[in-house]
Amino acid sequence: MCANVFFFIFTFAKNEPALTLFGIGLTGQGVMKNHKKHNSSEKPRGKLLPRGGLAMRYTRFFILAFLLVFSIAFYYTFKFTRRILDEDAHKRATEITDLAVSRISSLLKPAEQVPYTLSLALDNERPNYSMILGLAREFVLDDTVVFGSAMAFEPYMHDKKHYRYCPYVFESKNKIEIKDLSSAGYDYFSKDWYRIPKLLQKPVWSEPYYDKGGGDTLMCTYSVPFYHQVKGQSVFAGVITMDISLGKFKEILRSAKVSETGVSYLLSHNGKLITPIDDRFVNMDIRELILRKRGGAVDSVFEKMLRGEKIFQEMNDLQYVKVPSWISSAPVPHTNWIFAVTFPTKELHAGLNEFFRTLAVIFCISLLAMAVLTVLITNKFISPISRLVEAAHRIGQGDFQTALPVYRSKDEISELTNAFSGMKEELVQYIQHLQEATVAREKIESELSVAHDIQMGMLPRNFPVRDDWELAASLDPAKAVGGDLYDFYFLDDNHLFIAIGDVAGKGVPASLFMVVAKTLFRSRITLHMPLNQIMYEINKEICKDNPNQMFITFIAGIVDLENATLTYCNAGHNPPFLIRSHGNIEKLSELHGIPLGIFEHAVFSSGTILLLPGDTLLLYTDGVTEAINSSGAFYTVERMLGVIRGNPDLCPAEMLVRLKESVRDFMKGTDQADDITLLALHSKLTPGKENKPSDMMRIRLANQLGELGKLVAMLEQVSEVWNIPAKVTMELNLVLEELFTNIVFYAFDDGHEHEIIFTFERTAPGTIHIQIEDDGKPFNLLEKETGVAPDLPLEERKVGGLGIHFVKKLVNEISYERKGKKNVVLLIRKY
Amino acid sequence: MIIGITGRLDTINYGILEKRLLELIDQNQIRILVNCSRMDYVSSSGLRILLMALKRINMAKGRFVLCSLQENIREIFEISGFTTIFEIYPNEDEALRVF
Repeated sequence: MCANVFFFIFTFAKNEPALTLFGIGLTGQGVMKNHKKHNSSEKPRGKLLPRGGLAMRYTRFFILAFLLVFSIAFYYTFKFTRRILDEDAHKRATEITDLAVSRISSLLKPAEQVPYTLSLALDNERPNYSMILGLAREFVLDDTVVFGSAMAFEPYMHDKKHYRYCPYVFESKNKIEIKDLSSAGYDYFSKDWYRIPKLLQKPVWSEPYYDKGGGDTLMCTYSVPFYHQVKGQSVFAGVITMDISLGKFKEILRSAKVSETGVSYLLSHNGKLITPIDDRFVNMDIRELILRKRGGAVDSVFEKMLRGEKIFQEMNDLQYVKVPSWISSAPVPHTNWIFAVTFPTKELHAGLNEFFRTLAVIFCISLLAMAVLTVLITNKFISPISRLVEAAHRIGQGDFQTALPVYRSKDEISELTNAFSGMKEELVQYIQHLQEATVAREKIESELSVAHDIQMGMLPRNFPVRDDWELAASLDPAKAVGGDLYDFYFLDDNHLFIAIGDVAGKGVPASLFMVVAKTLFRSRITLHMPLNQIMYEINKEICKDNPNQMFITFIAGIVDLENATLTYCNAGHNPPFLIRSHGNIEKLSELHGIPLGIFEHAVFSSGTILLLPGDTLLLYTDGVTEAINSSGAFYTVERMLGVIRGNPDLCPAEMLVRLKESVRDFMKGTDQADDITLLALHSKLTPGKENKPSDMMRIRLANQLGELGKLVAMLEQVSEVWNIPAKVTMELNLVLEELFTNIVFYAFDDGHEHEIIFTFERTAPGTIHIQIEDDGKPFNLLEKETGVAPDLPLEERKVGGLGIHFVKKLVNEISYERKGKKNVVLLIRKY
Repeated sequence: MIIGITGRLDTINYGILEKRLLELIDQNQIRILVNCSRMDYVSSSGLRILLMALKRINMAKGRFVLCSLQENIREIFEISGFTTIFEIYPNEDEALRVF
């Protein structure tokens, strides 16, 4: 703001009214800004808002805009007016110059004409000298500027007696005298005023000079050559002169003023001053006199001037004249003189500047007045807003009944008031709803906690203590109730059902769906139907009444506790891990179908694996692997496996505890996003049982086709342990499948369950014996017709019998024996 | 019509293939190519089904063709003499040219 003030004073002094105006405006703006700052530092709580705020801002911008517009207009007006003045000055200067020039001209005219007339008179055979002289005398007496006239003759031209003859008529003390210049031995033949006209044969004006020979004044001579007629020819006879007193011209010049401080000059065509104000300066080159420096544009202006062009120019480099001045010049006709006049521009502009300065001051005052008025008026418009603000504060403190200010005019502010009022009403209602909702929610939450207890109660807790198997399971829901489930129970003494599942979703809907699924499984799981078919049936049920299209990923498995096989079906769930006794962790990545509840006609398959002593099976849900910590990182399968590897030989319960701890540590305070469920089943190492690969392995199967999976699993195991090549394994697979299938179909017809026992023995490296024993009716498979001959045409092929063909072809030896109540088949295969 | 068999075709699951083939034949889709590139194992039950389908389709004047048998499986077919009964092609492109 101080800068503004300084700027303003500076421009004022410099006579730049437009900028001054601007400076004043900026200052004023600064004042207003400061005022506002003071005001807004007050705390408005409970008090009226400062009147300054909106009104001040609005006024500031408005005034600034107005200032800007007006400053520009002002500036251009100023410039325009100045230009008009300058043009006017130009016109005046030109007029004066022309006037002066004509006056000088008129003064000189006679001086030119007379010698001419006289020369004509002389141009004769026998001129009348005395008469001519008499004429000259009259002329000098009459004329103002001419003070002398001489008639200089060529040698002996006047008469035979005189070599030199030069009568000179001149004024002296108001009388006319005649003198003969030649008498004093004055050699006029060599003088310029004689010589040059003689040479040029035309009249000539001289430069100004002091001539002691004639009058003792500053003078200028006009010389005209004259001629005599001698024997019919014009011969140069002499020169008539007119001597002009330059003092007279001084008078003329003095009156030719354009301005008070202007100066006029009469110059010769060489730039020499003819009539300076100060006689000391006569004959000085005007350029030396006037110009501060030479060269360039300045010189060319003077060139033009001295050539006789009319000039009107502003010059800045004049000596003795410190300020910029105009110079106007014109040539004097008939002579080679130049008339010039100078006058300073300042004088010209003084009046204009004065005028505009006054105008600026008036304007600023009125601007200030307008600013004040604007502030007051704006405040009046804004006060309703302040009242609304007060009302808002009261409402904020809880007084919903407070009255809103009444506002009559129909404009934006009344709309604001109306909107405000509407908002207040809605606020009251909203709060009321909120209170009701909170009460309702609390009620629900207490019910949810009961539901949680019920749900947790549904989960099986205790697995009986056994010396061959151990199982642990746990479920930690994310919310009060969860969508994960696990289950385990004994189907009979030998078979254990295990399951794990994850409903898509969380909370009450998922948990209800979970209960439905769990109940379905409990009711449908049986040993009398293959697992994949059970899954098919259950899936159909789930799909039927599923309006919300929920689905559940699921693993259902049946463990044959004696054979240590697991037949399982993975319906879209996370692949379980089999932790072998020697530490390797195998991923059971086979998928047997899509999650339940999606597609009514989905079909499922199943898989069978062998659980060796010391193995642990781990089932889990993605609440474990996809647990998120605060940086958005997942817990991941790798981390889970890492915990297991890092803690070998844990029993299932301990493993679960360790895993859950690890997850909790990982999440470190972030909320649990999904249910965390785990189930671990461990096959204990019983004393006496070896876990080294032995040379004999056995499996007992029930007489159901579904058991085939176990047989295949067993065969795989055997192959792995005894390094049987894959091709041989496949062939054995075919053989065993045939034998088993046939026994199941043909060996029993009492509808009871029977056992079929497969025993695998490695009798020598590269030789495997397989014995198949069943307690069905006597039945020798090998007696069946194969019905296959390689070249038997299609039509005669029987559909059955192919299997036996394989059996015979793919083994090295096969034999059948009935031992007591049992069928015993023995086959040998070398590899 | 191209069918692919993936995994095992044995006594347990042959029913699925049977059902599908019967469906197709009923719908008069009697130009069928079975792509066996992913069939790891086939037992007599599976072969039986293929044979049955072949007979039925031939009766209906259609075509039933196999392709891309795995090495081991091809041997099984040879042992059972099926290579003389079935049209077997090494890959799908060649098999399709037949139709």
